[in-house]
Amino acid sequence: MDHVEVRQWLTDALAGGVLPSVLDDLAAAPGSDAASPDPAADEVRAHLMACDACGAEAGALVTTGALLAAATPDDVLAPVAARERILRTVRETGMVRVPAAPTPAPVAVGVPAVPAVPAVPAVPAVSRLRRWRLVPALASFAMAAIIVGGLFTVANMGHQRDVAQAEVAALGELASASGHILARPDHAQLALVAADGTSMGMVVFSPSSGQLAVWSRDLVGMASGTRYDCFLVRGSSLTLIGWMDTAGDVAYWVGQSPAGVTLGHAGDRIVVQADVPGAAPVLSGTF
Amino acid sequence: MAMSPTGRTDAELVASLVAGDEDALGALYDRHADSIFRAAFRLLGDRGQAEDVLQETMLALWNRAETYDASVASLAAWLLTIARNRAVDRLRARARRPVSMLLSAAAGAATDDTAIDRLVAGGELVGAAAARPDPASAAEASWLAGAVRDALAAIPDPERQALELAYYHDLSQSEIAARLGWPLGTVKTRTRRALARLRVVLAEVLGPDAGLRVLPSVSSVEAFGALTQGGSDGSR
Repeated sequence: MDHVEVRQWLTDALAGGVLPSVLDDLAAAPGSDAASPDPAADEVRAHLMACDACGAEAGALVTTGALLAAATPDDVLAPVAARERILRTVRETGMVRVPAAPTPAPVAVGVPAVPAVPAVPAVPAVSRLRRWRLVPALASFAMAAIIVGGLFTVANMGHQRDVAQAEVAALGELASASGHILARPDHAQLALVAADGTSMGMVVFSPSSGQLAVWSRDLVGMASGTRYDCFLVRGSSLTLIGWMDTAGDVAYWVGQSPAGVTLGHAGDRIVVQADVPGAAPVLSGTF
Repeated sequence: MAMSPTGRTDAELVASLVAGDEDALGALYDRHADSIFRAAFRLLGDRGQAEDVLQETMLALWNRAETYDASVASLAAWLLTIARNRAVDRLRARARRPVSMLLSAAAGAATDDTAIDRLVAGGELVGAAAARPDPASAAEASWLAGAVRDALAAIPDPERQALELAYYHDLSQSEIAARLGWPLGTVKTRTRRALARLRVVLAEVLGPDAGLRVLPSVSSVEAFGALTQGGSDGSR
């Protein structure tokens, strides 16, 4: 591709409102799962790597797109086709909710359906083993949720109740998401260890669904008030997965893996580090 | 049989959702999805990623509905805060992804933070402006959006129409051609020309530090012409 073709290709992506995603695809290694199947993308990538002018032009187009986006008019609507897909995804991956009982106990609200996890059939033996080892961890989250829920039942004080409710919901989200991941036949897990080799956390994920859960029960006490980021390290590239939320003494992240990234490649690392300049990883695990 | 969600308040629908009523989720989606999508698109400038943020926000609503307190904030504000946090997460990730290195390497700026900031300047700038609650930042964001709308207004109508249908309303070039009765090549030409004109106008308004410059190896006249080639324009 020459300069003109590359710039037209990028300009068309900008006009279609997809330039950031296209650039993400270009950043993926050629031939990888995350790379674009469009053969033109390989040509554009090669051109950008060699051409200063077109690289700078791409940066200017990114800025142009951001400015256009900032002026998005109020008549822009969510895609109609997205509605059913999103609602279906929420139903399939969200926490299990059941109709409320006439006099629901507070601890029942938001507690995930952890017991449903062992009932999933037709899981390979190795997966059964992995899941069995994780059940105590999930049970501990559920227990923490019950304890926290019990706190506000007894204390019944406004602020404490709000905090407790939030923590119940957060722990419920973590346990529920982990349960969904573990119900996937292709699920896998990874231990997160500190620099001294001490096991301090865990990652569970499903390559097919892209769902990922990361948690540690030791981060919160290490540096109260510090926010932790979770990264995927692949070769020399670093991809932010997300910020760790906290609930009680659990720091966790739950959600989809970064767009265009398939987890579980040999040599990939998951690292967790404080969100401060120059911070070193406090937890890491290698696939 | 579930009661129709029509006429129920957000708080009532959230209470139903907590009780496991999936119809309430659909009703809340219909009520808030457009504003969430718009907010995410304004920050991210990418339709697919804005859809992802919308999905994550609805998932958070479903999973964390118990934490919503109607006495503290409206549901719309609560949802938009979640969406904004998710979008900013993505902007931060975008700044650290290898594409920034790829572009900065091509631009001869290696991997320093300044180069990354410059290359993602649009996303960082807009994200920060929209996120800050203080009046000065809000005014800055409003002014910026106004400047872009003014620049769009300065573009000839057919070109602006092509760009707006493509960028804001997600119509493909073929769909635009069918809707407006233009040849496909004309749609391409007018869309590219609209973007080229927009950059020229915005570069004048925002100045050289806005990151809209470029074209060192190809003269601006040649580049402008090249960007607008590729199809006939019935208006000429």
